[in-house]
Amino acid sequence: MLTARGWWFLVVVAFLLALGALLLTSFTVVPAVVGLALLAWFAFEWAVFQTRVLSAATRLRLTRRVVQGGRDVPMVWAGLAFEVRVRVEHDGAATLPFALIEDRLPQATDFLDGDNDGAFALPPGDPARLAYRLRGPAPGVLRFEGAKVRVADLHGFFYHRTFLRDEAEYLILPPLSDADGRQRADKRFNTLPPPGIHRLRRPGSGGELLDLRDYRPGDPPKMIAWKASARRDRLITKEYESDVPVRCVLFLDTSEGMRLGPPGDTPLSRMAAVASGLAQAAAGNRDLVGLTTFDEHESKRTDPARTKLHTINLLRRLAEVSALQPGTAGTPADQLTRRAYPLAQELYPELMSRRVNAMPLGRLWLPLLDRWWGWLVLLAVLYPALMVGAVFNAPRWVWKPWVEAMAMAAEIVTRKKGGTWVNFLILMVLPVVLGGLFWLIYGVRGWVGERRLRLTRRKRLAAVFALHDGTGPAGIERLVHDDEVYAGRVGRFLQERQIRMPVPLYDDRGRYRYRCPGKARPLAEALVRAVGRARDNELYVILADLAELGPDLAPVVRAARVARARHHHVMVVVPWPAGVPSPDEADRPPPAAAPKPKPRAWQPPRPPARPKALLSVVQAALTRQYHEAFRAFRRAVGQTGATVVRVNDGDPIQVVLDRLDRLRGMRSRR
Amino acid sequence: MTTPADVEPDATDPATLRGLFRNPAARDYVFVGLGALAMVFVVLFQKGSDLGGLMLVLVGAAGLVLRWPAAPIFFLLLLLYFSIFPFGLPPADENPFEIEDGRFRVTDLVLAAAVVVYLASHYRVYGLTALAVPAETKYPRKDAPPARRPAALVRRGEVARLFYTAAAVAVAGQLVWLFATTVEVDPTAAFPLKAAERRGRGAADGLPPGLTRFVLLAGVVGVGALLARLVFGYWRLRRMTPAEGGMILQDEGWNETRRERVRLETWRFWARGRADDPKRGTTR
Repeated sequence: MLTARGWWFLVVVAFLLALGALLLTSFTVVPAVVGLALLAWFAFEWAVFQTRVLSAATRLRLTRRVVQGGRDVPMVWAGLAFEVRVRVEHDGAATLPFALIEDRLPQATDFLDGDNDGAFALPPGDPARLAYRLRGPAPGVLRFEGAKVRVADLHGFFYHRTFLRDEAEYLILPPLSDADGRQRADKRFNTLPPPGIHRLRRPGSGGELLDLRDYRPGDPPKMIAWKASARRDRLITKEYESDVPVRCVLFLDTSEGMRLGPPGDTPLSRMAAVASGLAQAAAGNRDLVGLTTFDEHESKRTDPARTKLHTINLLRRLAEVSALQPGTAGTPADQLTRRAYPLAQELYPELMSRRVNAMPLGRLWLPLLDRWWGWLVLLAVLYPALMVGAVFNAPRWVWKPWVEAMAMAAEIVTRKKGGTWVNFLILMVLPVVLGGLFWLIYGVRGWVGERRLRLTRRKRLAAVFALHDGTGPAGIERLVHDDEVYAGRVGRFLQERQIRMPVPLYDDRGRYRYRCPGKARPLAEALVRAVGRARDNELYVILADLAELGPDLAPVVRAARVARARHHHVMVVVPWPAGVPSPDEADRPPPAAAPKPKPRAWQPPRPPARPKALLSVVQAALTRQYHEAFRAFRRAVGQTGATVVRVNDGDPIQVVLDRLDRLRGMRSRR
Repeated sequence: MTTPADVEPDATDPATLRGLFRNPAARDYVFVGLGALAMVFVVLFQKGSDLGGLMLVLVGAAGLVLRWPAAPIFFLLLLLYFSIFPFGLPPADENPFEIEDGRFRVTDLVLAAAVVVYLASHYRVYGLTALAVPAETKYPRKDAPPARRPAALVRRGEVARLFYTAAAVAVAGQLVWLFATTVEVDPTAAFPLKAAERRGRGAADGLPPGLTRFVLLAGVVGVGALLARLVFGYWRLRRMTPAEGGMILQDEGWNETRRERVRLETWRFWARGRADDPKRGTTR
């Protein structure tokens, strides 16, 4: 590719040569000779550059290693730094004297140090190396696309850009929970507790005394506490702790509403981190942990288990769902194109070039006959032919008034003898000329302006997608025509690359689009299914955004009642939106105002209070609406005996764990 | 030899004026360029254009040291002017035997080679100090660092290769000029080229000499471009990836059938609109 510098040089040299060879030979041959030498130099440099590009740049290969803890890893832990080592080399015959290599950084990671780009000379067999350190702040998927390579000659005349695709995905597992993990690992006790020995304070057949209560008929005599009975002068029965392990089943909401936000900082990723902490804490207690993920359509279940492999599988599943992105339904196609086109140009430069992915002018031509009035223009263009055809073929009464009217019009226009026939012909041809001119201008308008840009970009993107999907030319035209299909495909392209997409939060009627009421039924079914498979002492932790479901929450309430009727514990953890104050703060009475001064007998009239800004009014209304919805939700769920916990942005997992511990202890005493 | 970009200490950063002369690689090219300018001055002085030589040296040296990107263009235009008017002002001296006298004239050879060396030095210094690769976007960020060629990547022997190349292209230019001035185009003959028979301007039965030279030079450039296109085009086809090949075939198929497909999609759209709203039966 010729750069601007190369174009300018070529133009000036051509001017020098043309002038010197054509006009100046009688005076001097220096311009011609110098121009030819410069042209020969330019051609030589071009040939050398092409040779280097074709023999070396097309043979570039990239290898990547992700290192954490001193060894190559197939997945990394969130919150811990890891190193990326990139090696670029080729096995061609030529040397690339100057190449800029830039490894594309994955989304939703923190760059710590090192270089992900650099300038290199690349002789055959001598690789260029890049090394840098990243950190994944939240669980998810780490996706590497490849490295961008730009090759130029030493003078800046020529330039070649390519992308070494090396698509690789690494899971960012949720962080190991520090507090509880270390608590169990620092050997406060000499051994790990055996299965079932934990602080589940619920009556059972364990060995630790839990409580004393009055004797009830049917209690086994061996459970009678004789000393206590003697002191109180009535029979007292001993209760022991349960030695059955708690089976904790986590229900994680992965619906579209949970995926909103920047990658790595969505409610879903935060709840996945909480779920990870809960799972690891329960595993630290040697309890069995299961995981069910659900969205509007289905639920996926992992049965409770206790092994390390099971825990790792849970973490993998949590990492996978953390990387989910919201769909693109309802997003205007142009907005998606604006995000996707530069990305496709960067990732697929060879497929997006005009050489292989062209847009012919004929496709940009605006078709007139798509409009109903375009047929009138066609009629005007065909007017003489229709008239001649009518004269020779149609009955006289059809064409005679027509021709006579035209002749009269020609007479009126002419107003003198001799020019009538000329004007008659002009009147015949005029509609053709005007219609044709209008048709031409209307069609040519498609070659310029915003439409041309939009259609060209869309076609190029559609061609790349059709090639990847294997749908061929039919797929191109389908994507160009159908906005829904196009939006879905572009959305998938952006989702796979974890690019944040513009999603409209409200529909045409102003309703929130991500309430996702459909998720209540899969959740209820999964909960009932879990109850059906339950043994004893089940703990169901629902991590879901259910606050705004309203009446659609009914299936979940019924399922929670079923679970409570079977003496299981249910806890609902709700992600609290950022920026929305706590309902407790909202309920708190405002601070006492300063005492008003005693009114004077006469006061000057005050100007009316300034209305608040519209944004703050809307924000306050939305906050109030959310608080009311949350209260209704808490009331509905609380009536079933379940507990509702809010998780704010700043809440550490430990807080939730403490609440869980308290919940488990508290519930056992009822 | 693979070397990362940012290994140079600041004192030898060629982006600064001091670093331009302290950095060995940049300094070499600066002195090579200045030497080429001196040679241009000598040649022009020998031709009697001392003013032209001086101006060319001034413009060239300033562009080289101050990294002026438009300096080569002005340099070439000034050279053109002072070649026609050696004393700086019209009229120009006419020489009917200039073409014959100008074949392989040593001063012209030296001048052409010096110009090539100067321009190459200027562009290489500019790449080392300012910008070696064009920006990726039309409006790059202001804080984006310029893509410069690190001085550490300058290979040993680059300057020597530059001298060889300049000498070779100067000779090649003279050969092409010799061809263009010793051969005439005869459009009426079976073989349209013949040896030039007469000196001076004007041919009675053929094309004018200027037009003949233009046709010949355009032919040489065109045939050369065609040959290069054939060679490198075939090479590029050989190196094409399956995805690129698939894209070419797909694009060609789409281009051949797009009218029918547009019609089909339009009909499908109408049908879907009717299915969505059977009462109206209109398109969406």
